[in-house]
Amino acid sequence: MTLKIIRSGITLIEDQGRYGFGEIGISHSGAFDQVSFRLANLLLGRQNEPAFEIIQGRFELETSSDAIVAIVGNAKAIVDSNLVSVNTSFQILAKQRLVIEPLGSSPTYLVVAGIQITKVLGSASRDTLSSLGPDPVIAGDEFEVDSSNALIGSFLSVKQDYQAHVLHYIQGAMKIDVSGEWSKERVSRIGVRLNREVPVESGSGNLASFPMMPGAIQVPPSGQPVILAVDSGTTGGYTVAGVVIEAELHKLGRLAEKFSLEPVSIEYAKNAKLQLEKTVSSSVINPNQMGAW
Amino acid sequence: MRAQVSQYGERSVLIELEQVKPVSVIDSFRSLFPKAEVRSGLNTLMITFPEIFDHTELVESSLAKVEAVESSTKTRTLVIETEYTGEDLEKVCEKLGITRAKLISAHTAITWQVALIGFAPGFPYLVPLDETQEEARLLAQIPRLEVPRAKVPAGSVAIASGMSCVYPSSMPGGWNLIGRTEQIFFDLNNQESPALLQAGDLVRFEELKS
Repeated sequence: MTLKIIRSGITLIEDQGRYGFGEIGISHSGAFDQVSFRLANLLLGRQNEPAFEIIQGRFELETSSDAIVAIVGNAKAIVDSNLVSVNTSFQILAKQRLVIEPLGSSPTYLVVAGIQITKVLGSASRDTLSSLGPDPVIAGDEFEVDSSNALIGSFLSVKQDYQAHVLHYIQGAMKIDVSGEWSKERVSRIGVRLNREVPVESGSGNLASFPMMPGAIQVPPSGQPVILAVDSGTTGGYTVAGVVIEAELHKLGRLAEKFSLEPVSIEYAKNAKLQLEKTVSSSVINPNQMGAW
Repeated sequence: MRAQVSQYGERSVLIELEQVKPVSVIDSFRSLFPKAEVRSGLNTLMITFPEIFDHTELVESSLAKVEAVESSTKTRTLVIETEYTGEDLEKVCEKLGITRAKLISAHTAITWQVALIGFAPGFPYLVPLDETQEEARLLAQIPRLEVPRAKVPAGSVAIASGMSCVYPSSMPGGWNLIGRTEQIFFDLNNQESPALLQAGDLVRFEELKS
């Protein structure tokens, strides 16, 4: 069965990411918002099915026969001019038109069960820094799909919050204070540039290149921090003030216009991770699997 | 071994090495912490553990057990045939007050070591194996470009800040272009190991006359 893109907006194909290649200069990449991505997969009973990451604009597709899809994000979804609920998995019929329109600035994830995407180094993710993986989606693109055995009628019991007002981070050894209120100036999969400067000692900030990771809060000599995101380079030469905790990396794609940075302990990061895993695995409800009442 | 160890995010530590090169101790750290991922920087190593924990004390207490190896019998040496026709070649010679022939002989006399692969897939940061070598000290006088180029062609051989590199694909770049090679440094058709080089490998450049 064939899926055809009618309108693409700005859309990439992403999955869990490309791990274990940092040593040869390849970024993690993967879905900007890993939580929404995972939830969309779980709604279909899948783990790491590649998703359309709809970043901006109107996205439309049609399939040549029935397909099962899940949409997670802050978006409006329409099937043949009827509004349908997002955060669910459902079937679209042959020749029906599925339209998705993001409502805010956070990415929306559409997973079509059984979509065939060629992997590069173990992942179907587009890495925008290195141009690795599937090309950005454009109108006219066609994909092969086999939606057999996916779940229909699943839904999320916990509503996701697409306005993140706080990011917690582990303070780095270099004593630069980035705690407090911020606005985002520019957001991309490579990084989030913040709106103002912090005081830095002159001459600091240009270091011999060292390993970087998503979440690192880089402070270049200008003093204007950039929080590295999924497609950021594997090494860098700017001071790192701290690293956003892993349980909140998905919030980089969901930041409210104004938000605060707050340092926390490693213990806090550990609990946040446990809590997140619990929430993700318990928030998907499938009516067919609720047992005999 | 002397080093500064600090927590870096919730699962990693950053080790700032004082007297040894990262590539000479990376294998030793890997065997000490087999479950962790160890990546090198120019003067640093990052160890990322599977579990969220402050690992600084553990790593500090292991420093005594780390053994540095200058280069082992396993170390590969790759010869890169280079045409010295780079756009910045003349300017670099002018700055150093030397002839083109002298620059080529300096660049080809140095045995380079891959300090790390970073910045872009397969991009090698090459440092002189012996930084006190006369030729290495000569080239070290050349800084990065004031204004980086928006596009550097794939295969460009370049120098800056005492290091050399080869651009594996076309990308923006701020190093001084001195030559070109046909050698492929990053090949996705080789899914097992798409990068030609890895940290620790040795590299020599050889002049290919056009």
